[in-house]
Amino acid sequence: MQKSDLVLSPGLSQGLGLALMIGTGLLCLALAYMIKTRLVRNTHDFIISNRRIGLGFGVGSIISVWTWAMAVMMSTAMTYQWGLSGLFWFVVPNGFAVMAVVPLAKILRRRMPAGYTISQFIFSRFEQSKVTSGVVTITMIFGIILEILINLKGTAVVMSTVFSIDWRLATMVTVVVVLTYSYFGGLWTSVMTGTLNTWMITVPAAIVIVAVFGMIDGGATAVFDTVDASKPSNLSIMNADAAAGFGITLAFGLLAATVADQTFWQKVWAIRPNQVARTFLWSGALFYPIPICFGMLGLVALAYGLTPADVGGDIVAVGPYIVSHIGLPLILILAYVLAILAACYSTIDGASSALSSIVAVDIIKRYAPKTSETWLFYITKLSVLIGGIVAAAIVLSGADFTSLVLTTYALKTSILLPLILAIVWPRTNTVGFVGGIVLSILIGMPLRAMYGELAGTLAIVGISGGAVIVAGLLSRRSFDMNNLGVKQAMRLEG
Amino acid sequence: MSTLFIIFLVLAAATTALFFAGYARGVRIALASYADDRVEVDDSGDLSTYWWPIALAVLGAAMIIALVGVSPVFIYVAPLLALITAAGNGLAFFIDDDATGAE
Repeated sequence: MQKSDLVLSPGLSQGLGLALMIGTGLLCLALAYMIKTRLVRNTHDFIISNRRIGLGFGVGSIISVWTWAMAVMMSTAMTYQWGLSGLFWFVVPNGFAVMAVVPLAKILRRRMPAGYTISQFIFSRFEQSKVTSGVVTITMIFGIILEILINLKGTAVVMSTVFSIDWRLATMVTVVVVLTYSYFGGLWTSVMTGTLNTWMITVPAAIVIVAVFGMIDGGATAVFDTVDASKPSNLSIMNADAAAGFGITLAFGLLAATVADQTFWQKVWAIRPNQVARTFLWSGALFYPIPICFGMLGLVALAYGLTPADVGGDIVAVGPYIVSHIGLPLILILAYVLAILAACYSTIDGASSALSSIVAVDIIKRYAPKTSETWLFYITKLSVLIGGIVAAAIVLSGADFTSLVLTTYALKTSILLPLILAIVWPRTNTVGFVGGIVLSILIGMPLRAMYGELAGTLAIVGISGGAVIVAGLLSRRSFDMNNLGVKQAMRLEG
Repeated sequence: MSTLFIIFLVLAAATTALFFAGYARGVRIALASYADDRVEVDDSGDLSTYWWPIALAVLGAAMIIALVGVSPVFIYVAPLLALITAAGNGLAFFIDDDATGAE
């Protein structure tokens, strides 16, 4: 296996790439239009689907929204960089992070059955404290914007690698396409197109991976033997460097990315109550095969002895590079791109939908409660467009993909333990909650800069959780969780 | 086209059929029940029933990745499982105890 054997497949024109991007969007737009006319009557339907989402759409939409550029391309990149240890530390916490929502979701859905957002819970939980809920709202918005821009960046990477489309053009086309169809149907659109995207991710992925190994003389055995001969540790999951290098940091970050993300909480309150726990359990378990499948491309890259320079310097491009250079038929290359587009589109769509719920409930209804339903509906839909445009503007300014991901996770990690404790520990109070988040960022981020990701992450988690516990123990007050649902839950629909 | 590739194409076709059959059922139920304002309760069982499945899923994922490093055969388990994800999603539409009873 020589890397000189890898040659860009013919026929991958820019026009074809753009047609694929726009065509996928048009399919989703047609679905969104049907949804708009049949399922969306008001803001309540737009942001929470009248709480009628069942197991099938719940599972499909959560899998697709959680399968972002991270899962598709970084699973390949981490396998390429660290061997199977990299895949292990990337994959195992990923699915667990989704399933970790189960206990928290069951508690909140029971205590606050008519909820919409996690910031709304914090507002009710901490005696209508606008400071506390404001901190959470800002963190959620920040996380959502980063979620969108990371996936825009992911689309740009794959389209520029495979079709040589200028990454700026790819970013702009993506944002226009996704926002156009997201604007129409809100959460129903998000879950229905997202579920369709789960099929577009999984089935093409399976066929393409088998085909890639079929293009190699000796298939999987040859890849396995070559990797084993060059560096046997790449076939082991026991490499501690991967854990220290990114695994532990990522594990905390992934937990924060689900537990402290409105994209998931929106679904907690939108899925039928008796299906919530099962939906998150199934989603986490069924998510696992996706990054494992794409991770196999990392072994191929190792077997060919690719260097980062060979793929343009950014190892995120390893997967697209292998697929577009190994000699696959055009249709299979397109299938791979379709899988990545589906992953990116569904995550951006899901994040936009979550943003609309925050704008409606945590901003408009809180600070301008007399806003009419008509105006609320328009503003909510408009927020979908504004979020995407802001994220696209940031991406177009040019930022490093991997650093961006880790920075997002480090920031969201600060809110992880305070949020969990607010749900499960009645003695969690405002001082501890806000103090924990602020202190952990003020102390943890400099430590992260000085001593690296692992020390910084552990410091952020430790300080944020410690501050909440100390403040809770010092106070004798205990919150009655039964007050959440009965007295304070808002019902947008009146 | 290798035999293995053909087998995967057949499995992919079967998975796709199951997925879209489920998807169509899901759409029908959504259209029939979207305006239903009945308040449902969570009768999905105690939290303790979820710990074992979660642990098994995590251990299963870890084991499959470890096995890839033991024998090249397990490399092909990865795409097979990806098809199971799509099939599982399709199946979820059928086992959902839909509150409306719509078919």
